[in-house]
Amino acid sequence: MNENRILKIMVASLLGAGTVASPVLAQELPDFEQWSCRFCPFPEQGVEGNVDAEALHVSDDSARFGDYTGLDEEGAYLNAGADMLYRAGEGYAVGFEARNLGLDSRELALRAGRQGSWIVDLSWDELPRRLDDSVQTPYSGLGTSRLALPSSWIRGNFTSGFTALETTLRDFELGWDRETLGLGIEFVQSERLRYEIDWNQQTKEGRGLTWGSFLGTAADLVKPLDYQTDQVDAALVYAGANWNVRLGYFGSFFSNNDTSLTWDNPFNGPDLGRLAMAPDNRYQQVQLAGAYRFTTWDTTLNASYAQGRMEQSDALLQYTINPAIAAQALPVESFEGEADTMAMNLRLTTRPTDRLRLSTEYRYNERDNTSGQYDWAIVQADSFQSVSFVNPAYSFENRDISLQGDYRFSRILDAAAGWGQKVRERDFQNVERTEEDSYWGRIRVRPFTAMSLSLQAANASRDASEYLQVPSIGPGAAQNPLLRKYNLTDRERDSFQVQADLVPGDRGSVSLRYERAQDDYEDSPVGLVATDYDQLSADASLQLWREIVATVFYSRENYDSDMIGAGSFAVPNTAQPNWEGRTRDRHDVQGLALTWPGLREGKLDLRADWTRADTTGDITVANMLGAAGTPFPTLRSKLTGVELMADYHLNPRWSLNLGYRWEKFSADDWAKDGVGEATIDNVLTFGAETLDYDVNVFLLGFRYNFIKEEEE
Amino acid sequence: MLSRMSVVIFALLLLGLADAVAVADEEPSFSRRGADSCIGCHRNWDPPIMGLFQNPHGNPHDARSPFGEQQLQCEACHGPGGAHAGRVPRGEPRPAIINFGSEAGTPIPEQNAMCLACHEGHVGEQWGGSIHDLNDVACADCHNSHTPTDPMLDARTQSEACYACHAEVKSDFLKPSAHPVRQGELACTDCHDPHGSANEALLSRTTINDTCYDCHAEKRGPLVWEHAPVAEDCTICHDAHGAVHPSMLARRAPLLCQSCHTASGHPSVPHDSSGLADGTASAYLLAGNCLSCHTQVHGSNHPSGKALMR
Repeated sequence: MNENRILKIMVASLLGAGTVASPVLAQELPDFEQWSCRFCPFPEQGVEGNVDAEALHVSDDSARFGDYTGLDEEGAYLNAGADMLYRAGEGYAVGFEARNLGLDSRELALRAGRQGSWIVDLSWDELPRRLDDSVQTPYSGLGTSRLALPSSWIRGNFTSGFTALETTLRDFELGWDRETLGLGIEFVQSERLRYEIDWNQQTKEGRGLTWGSFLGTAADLVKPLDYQTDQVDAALVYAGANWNVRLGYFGSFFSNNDTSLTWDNPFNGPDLGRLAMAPDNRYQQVQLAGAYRFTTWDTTLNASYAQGRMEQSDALLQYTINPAIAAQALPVESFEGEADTMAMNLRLTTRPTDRLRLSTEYRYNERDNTSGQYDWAIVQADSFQSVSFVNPAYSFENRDISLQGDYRFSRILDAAAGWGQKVRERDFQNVERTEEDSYWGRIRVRPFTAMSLSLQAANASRDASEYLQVPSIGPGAAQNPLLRKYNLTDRERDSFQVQADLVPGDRGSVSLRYERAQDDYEDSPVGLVATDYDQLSADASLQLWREIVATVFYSRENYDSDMIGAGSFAVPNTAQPNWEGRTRDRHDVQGLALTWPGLREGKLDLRADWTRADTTGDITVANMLGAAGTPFPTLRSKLTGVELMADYHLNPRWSLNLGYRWEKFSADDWAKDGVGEATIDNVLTFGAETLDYDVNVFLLGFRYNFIKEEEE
Repeated sequence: MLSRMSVVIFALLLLGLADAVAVADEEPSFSRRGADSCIGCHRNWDPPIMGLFQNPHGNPHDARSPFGEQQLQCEACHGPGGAHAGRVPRGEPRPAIINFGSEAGTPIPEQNAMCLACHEGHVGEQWGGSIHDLNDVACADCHNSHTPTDPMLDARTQSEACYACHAEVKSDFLKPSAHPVRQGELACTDCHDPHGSANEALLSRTTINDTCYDCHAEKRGPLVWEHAPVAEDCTICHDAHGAVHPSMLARRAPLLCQSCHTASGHPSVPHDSSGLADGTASAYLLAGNCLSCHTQVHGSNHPSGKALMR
């Protein structure tokens, strides 16, 4: 081997001359003169795709049914959509997609360009949130930053004293519209280099739910939503044959047109209260990521690094709007909130033999909060001057490392095992450091081609450093020293999962899956002490007869959690554990779908779906540990949906669509049931209900396909 | 530190060196007529394959496309098909080409390497060693390169491919409080990057919270008074796919809040069913419960917001 060859190999090894990327290139290239592709049906110039229009009738008003869909009001809707592409010569094309043009959930996208050269995307997307239409309030100014009670309002110490309530209540709706305008450009400079930039502007306007309180009294309030968020993602991507690198930028710029919400106090006490609304903020991040794939041992090295900064500097409100409390000067007029973020990862994966695969990864991220810390002369709930307190500036540091191996003993059996460690370090919190080690193993068996079985088990053990007491405003706010917060304390987690897949033939498949995870917070005298999650799911697909395919889905999930409390009115609270809270949640889902395409000589496609989802939640609070406790009424929700669709192809251009959808939802929720505006002595509520609905939707529409005459 | 770096660099050099001197075995040949050979037999194949000419793979004007000028057409992905398309002695099986999908005979790493040959710059950045790669997910398990449009690129149909392996998530989206995936208004890829990610759970942004802030930017801050778990990880309180309880909370307030707050008085004492609407109608249980007063649970920028009441 002469020096030149050695040098070339060294350079090649550094630059990645060896490649798995294009194995076919190792062959002698074909005689392209003979590869005329005369049977290839390349699309011609012109329009292709389809447009559709439909008339819908919705049987009932329902905010919940209309949430996200825009079908919240009874009556007729005219709707339309399109999926069109105009192909010009030389590969230039313009595409247009539209969906739900007649609804508040409309989407539009226009795309133009030449594939492989440049593409421009312009999009518009609306998302309707219809939170509640069962609510009432005496306030005016809904959706603004000033909520006022009517002049006839009569205040009281309790809601029972609101003698003008009945005559001043007005119906209103909670919800908002999110609208997103997007522009994206991709420019392909060469086979290896391309640039991408995506900008979008989200606006969120409407009425949100919030609350306002004084000392011991509160009211449901409407929060004004007038947000705008501009986001930019830009990247330069260079891809070699077996390596790539990406240099990116992400920017998020949020602005809120409302800095505060001021409301009249409906109770006796201070006249006005004022909440701070979310301040404007911005976040910018640069990213560098890449991968290198070696042929040897099918090895891949991935790495990424990202550095960012989040900031906000809005002017602050005064300590209180209550003129009866002597105003103190703020330590700063605007809070210079600033946190630096950093994230990186490094991952190496290799396959030294066909049977063995090894992978290791290191991941790190941090949030370094460098915001100012000041001594704030707090006025509690616009009601009284409290003691001053310094704001903590929370910072975090997360370090994860993992190692795993997978060995394929034969086509029938493979096994995998892994170890991982997660370290979390925090400032200003009860625990400075937690360290969690986890081990897992998995066996996959494939006794027949048509069957596979997988078993996986894992254990994770989290150890926390010394549990500290963080400063609080006076002894009354001090936590019980026996408390261990569940995200900061020791935890033992055991989990296992079993999955079986059966594909007995071309006509069907069956899949079964069961998973269980148990968390034990064994060193927590007070706080969350245990959770137990399990989920069983099954789905099957079967070709019943001819083209009729049935799909069945079943799922049952249980989530249990137990917590221990130590209640006391003594200051500070040093009580021993003296009560227990138990929650038993259950979620059952069943679904059946039938498809029958190609009926009547290919002219008719039929589809039917049925879905049922039931949830229950049983909560018991036992006043003394070991006592039976008083169970709460079961929380329930039931969702049933049926959808029937028929598409009749009148001819290659025209199709007629008929559809019917029925959806019913009902719920029992003790937090809402029977709770009127004045039910709670010290809270004026909206009297929200559980939003049960029973809605039928009928659909009649057509679709026009753009096809060429010869295809007709 | 320097010596550790040297070891790493040396190991990488060795890997690269082995790559550079790798010698290919004798390779099979291409077909004589390219795609025309394939279409002759597979024109009416089930499942249909001719939709490819309406999607980017069949675009002859893109130099990078398999059907671009001097590209290898069907054999760009399926490998040299000379033997497959040639005459086969009676009684002998037709030599296989590279086929795609978990049920195909071609090893999945070989299938995926074929896709990455062109899509290195789109998906290769974090694919290697990602959870989907390690679990031998084939590109063709999710994508279909022969249909006019890929169902994975449509928010309304994408989730079905994900549910094939993640059945538990399908039921999550049917819970009473859930993100609008079943309504087709949100796609799995709005939060996750199935092609691999440097972040946990294949999230598309650097952290869980950064991913949530994409739609909930008002919660980013940093604020004067932060609620520590909120600033750290939204999933400490919320189930992002859906929950039995309102606002996608993992557990019902006040028990959720009382898991961490035990100051004397109302945070620490039990609130049992005697406080329901037909009893004493407790503010700690009904309507907004804890939030009725501690409104700013996600943090407050009010100078008096220490208790998250302003």
